[in-house]
Amino acid sequence: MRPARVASGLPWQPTPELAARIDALARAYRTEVRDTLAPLVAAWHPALSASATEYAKMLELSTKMTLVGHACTMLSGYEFDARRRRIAILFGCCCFLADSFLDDFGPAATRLYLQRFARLLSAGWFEIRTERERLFYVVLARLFAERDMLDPLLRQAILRLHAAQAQDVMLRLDPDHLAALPERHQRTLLKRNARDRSGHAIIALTTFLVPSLPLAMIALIFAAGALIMFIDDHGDCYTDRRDGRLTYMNQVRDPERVLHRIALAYFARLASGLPSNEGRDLLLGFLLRYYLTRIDKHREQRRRGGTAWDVYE
Amino acid sequence: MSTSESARPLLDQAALAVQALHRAGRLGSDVLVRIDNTEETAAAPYQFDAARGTLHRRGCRAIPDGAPLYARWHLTRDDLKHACKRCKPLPDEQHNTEPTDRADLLFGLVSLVDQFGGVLKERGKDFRKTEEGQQLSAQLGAIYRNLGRREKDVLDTVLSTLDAVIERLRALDRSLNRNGADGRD
Repeated sequence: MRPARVASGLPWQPTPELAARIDALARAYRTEVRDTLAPLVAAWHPALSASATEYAKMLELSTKMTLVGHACTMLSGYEFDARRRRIAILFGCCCFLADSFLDDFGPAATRLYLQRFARLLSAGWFEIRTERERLFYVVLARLFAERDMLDPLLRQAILRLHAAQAQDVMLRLDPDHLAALPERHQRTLLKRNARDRSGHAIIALTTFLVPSLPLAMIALIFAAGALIMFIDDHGDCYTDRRDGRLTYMNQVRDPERVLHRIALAYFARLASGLPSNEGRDLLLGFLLRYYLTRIDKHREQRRRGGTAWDVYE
Repeated sequence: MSTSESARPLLDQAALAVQALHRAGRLGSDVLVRIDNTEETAAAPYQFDAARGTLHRRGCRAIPDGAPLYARWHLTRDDLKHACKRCKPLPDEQHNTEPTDRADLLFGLVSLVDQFGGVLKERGKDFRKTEEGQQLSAQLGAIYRNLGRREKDVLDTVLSTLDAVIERLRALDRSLNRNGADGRD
C-alpha cells in the first residue's frame, strides 16, 4: 500500500498547516539540540563527534525526543519553555548513550552494563571507566538536577524502563529461553516488551517535563509511546534481524499489514481520548510522520539490506 | 531547581568528583541516591495498568499478566473513571503507607552534609584565598555592613535556625545509625 493511501485510511487527519509546523519545529529543535549537546560532547567525549553518523543519529534522536516532549508538555497544559526543551534534549542524549552501552559493545559488556545501571538506580553509584560513560554521567547528573528525582511516578517510570530494556537484552542474549515457548507466547512476549520499552520511556520523559500526570493521560501517553516502538521496530526490521535481535515486528508474517492494524487502533484511541489542543495535533502529526517515514525506511532496507547506522529524520 | 549556565561545568565536575571519591574508597556511604522504589510501590494500595488504563486495588485478580503497573497511594474522584469493575477501588479509604520520599530526602541531605562537611569547609577556606573569593568576601562584607539592624537580626536568625536544623537532623541520623532502622533508644 502506498504511504499516502495508508495515511488517508487513518481515523485522524492532519490540518494542511500541521506538516509545515512540524517541519519548522524539527528544524529549530535540531539546531537547539546541536547547540546544547555540542559543548558537552566537546568537553567530555570529543571522539563522539568524529563518528559523523553516530553523532548525527544522537542529534536526531534528541530532536525527536524534544518534539515528543513538546507535544506531551502541551497536552498536560504547560508551556514548553527553554528549561523544558533543555530537559528533553538531555533525556534524548541520555537514552541514546544508554542504548549504545547495551547494543554496541558485545554481550559481556551488555550484561555488565545492566548490572551497573541497576547499581546506579539502587545506590546512585556509577564507576566511570570511559569517556562515553563520563559524558553519559554528566548528562544524567544535569538531568537529575532539573527535577525532583524522588517523585514517585518518575522513579517508577525510570525503573520500569530499565526493566523493559533488561528484558529486551535478555531476549537477545538468551534466545533459547524465548524459543522454548510456543510461537504465540513468543509473539505476546515480544509485543509486550516493545510496548513497555517505549511506553515507559515516554512516561519518564513527560514526568521529567511536567509536575504531575492524571491517570487518563498516563494511559494515553503510554499508548503513544508503544506505537512509536512498533513503528521504530518496523523501520529497523532488517537490521534487527541481521543483528540477531528479535522484535515483534520482525517476527510477524506481514509486518506492514500488522503495523497498519496496530496504527489504526492506536490512532483511534489517541484521537478520541486526548484533549483537543495543540499538543494533541503535534503528537498525532509526529506519529503520522514517523509512521510514513518508517514504512519508507523498511522498504529501503529490504531493497539494499539493512544498515544499522541509517539516520532518518 | 534550575541552575545558571555558568555554574554548570562546576556542577559537572562536582558530580564526577563524587563518583571518583567513592571509587577511591573515600566516601563511607552505601547510598548516594536511591531511585529504586520497588519495595514501596509493591506495597502501594492501588496499581494503575497503563496499557489498559484501569485502576486496581493491589493484588486484584483482574490485573492482566505482564501489565505495566504504576503504583498509586491516593485516589482522586477523577481516578474513579478508571476503576476496575471487579475490585472497585474507592477514594475514601485511609492508607497510611505514604512513600517516605521527603524523609529520605532529608536524611540524604544530612548524610551529604555529614560526608562533605569537612571537604566543604576546606574548599571554603581555599576559595576565600583566591582573587574571586576575596572579591566575593568583600562584597558580602559590604552588603552585611549596609544592612539595617532589623535585617541583620533576621539574617542571623535564619542562619542560626538552619544551623540548628542541621544539627538536629545530624543527631537524628546518628541515633538511627546507632539504634537500627526504627531509631529507638
